[in-house]
Amino acid sequence: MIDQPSKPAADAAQHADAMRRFNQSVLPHLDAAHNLARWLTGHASDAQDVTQEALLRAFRFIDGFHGSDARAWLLTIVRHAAYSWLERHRPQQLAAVPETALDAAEQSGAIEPAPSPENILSDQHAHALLLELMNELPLPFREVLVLRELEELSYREIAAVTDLPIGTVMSRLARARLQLRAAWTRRGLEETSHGL
Amino acid sequence: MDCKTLASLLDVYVDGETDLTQTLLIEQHLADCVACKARKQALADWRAMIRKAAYFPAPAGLRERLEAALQGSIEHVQIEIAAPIHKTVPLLPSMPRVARRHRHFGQRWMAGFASVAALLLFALNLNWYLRQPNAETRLATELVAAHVRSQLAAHLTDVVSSDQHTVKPWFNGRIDIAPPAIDLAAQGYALIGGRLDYIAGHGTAALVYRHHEHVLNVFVLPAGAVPADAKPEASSLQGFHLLRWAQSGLVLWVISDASESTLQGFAEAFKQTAP
Repeated sequence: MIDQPSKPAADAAQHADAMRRFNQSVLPHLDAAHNLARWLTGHASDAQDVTQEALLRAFRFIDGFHGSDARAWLLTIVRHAAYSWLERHRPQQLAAVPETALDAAEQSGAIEPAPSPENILSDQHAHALLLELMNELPLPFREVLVLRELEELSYREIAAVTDLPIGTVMSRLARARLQLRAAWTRRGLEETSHGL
Repeated sequence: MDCKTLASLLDVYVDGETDLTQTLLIEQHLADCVACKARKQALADWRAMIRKAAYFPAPAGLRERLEAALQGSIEHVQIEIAAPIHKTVPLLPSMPRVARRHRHFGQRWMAGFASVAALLLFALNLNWYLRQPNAETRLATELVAAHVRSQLAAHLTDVVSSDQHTVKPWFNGRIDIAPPAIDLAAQGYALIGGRLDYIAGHGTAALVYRHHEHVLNVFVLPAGAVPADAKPEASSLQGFHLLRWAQSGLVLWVISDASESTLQGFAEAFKQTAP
């Protein structure tokens, strides 16, 4: 703690140790970090900047990480970096969404999962449409959906990463899925009726 | 369990988040209901498609760039305020600045260059450290640097909140110490948030307060960070005032460009209010 003149040598050793820990526990989650950054910022090049910033911050604070779940820890840092970035560049994305319970109509609408896409549209077309519709979801819904469907985090982990109560995670997730499926059904019908 | 109830639980079931009782009932029902089984299959297909269509793994270039940046990262920050004879002092990996965007780190010679630079910095650094009067001043220098950096880099806070019940838990699991985040708005020092920082080789909590136009950074360090009898408790460096006190196993430093009496007032208010 108290520096000696030999501090640079100690620094170098500490640096090497941090590097090793970082390579073992954090770097393997680079794909997850990038995927989340991509969905939160909505742009490929911004996602790279945010990911790099987040990974460098993770490296800086690796000493402070003693948990077992490096992925959730890293995704939390990514989310903070992405939100700071959004504040600077796209503050309108950060508008709050009303938190309400699902009403009965929504509940009953949730019952039928979306039709199997391959029956309606070509794969490529279906994938493009899906990306578009996911991008249109409000940020609070999009982030829980991405953390669950793409990163396959548990509800508890999502609550930790987003700093939300678990009940809020569940209701946002339900709403995100509902909106996405409703939009998918609507747009899918439109596109097929236009003979695409 | 009927089909309607099952349908309302299907998402949660496929997420693996239903409780044991629900899971048993659902699986019993699925075993002999063709319609529900088809629903579950449709849901699984839908999710598989999302995963296939919407996942963006890191591009190869990003991985290389990052590894190069880390390899060469006995990095340095410009500390005009504290470094003698205008020198760059390696302290911590710095954030990539906007100006450094789109630069390609990917070339091998960059890494080579960086290690030569690191060696040079080493020598300078050694010289610099040897010239430092004592650990205390060195720590003060770092604190000043961190305080200045926090206001330069548009990175004053990681968690923005005047609510102590938001700020304090935010640090949980991020660092070892639980910083006493208290709002002192009534005494004229409004809590505006908190931040992770890096002091004396450790991740540190910084609490940020505002007093009129002045930003006060409060750095929370474990008690071992300074010798208990180290003097002086109040000091000034490069036009900033610093004040140190110990409480409940922690050493707190407050630093600001506000006056010394302002800091004294803050410290008094903090000591009286903190648990």
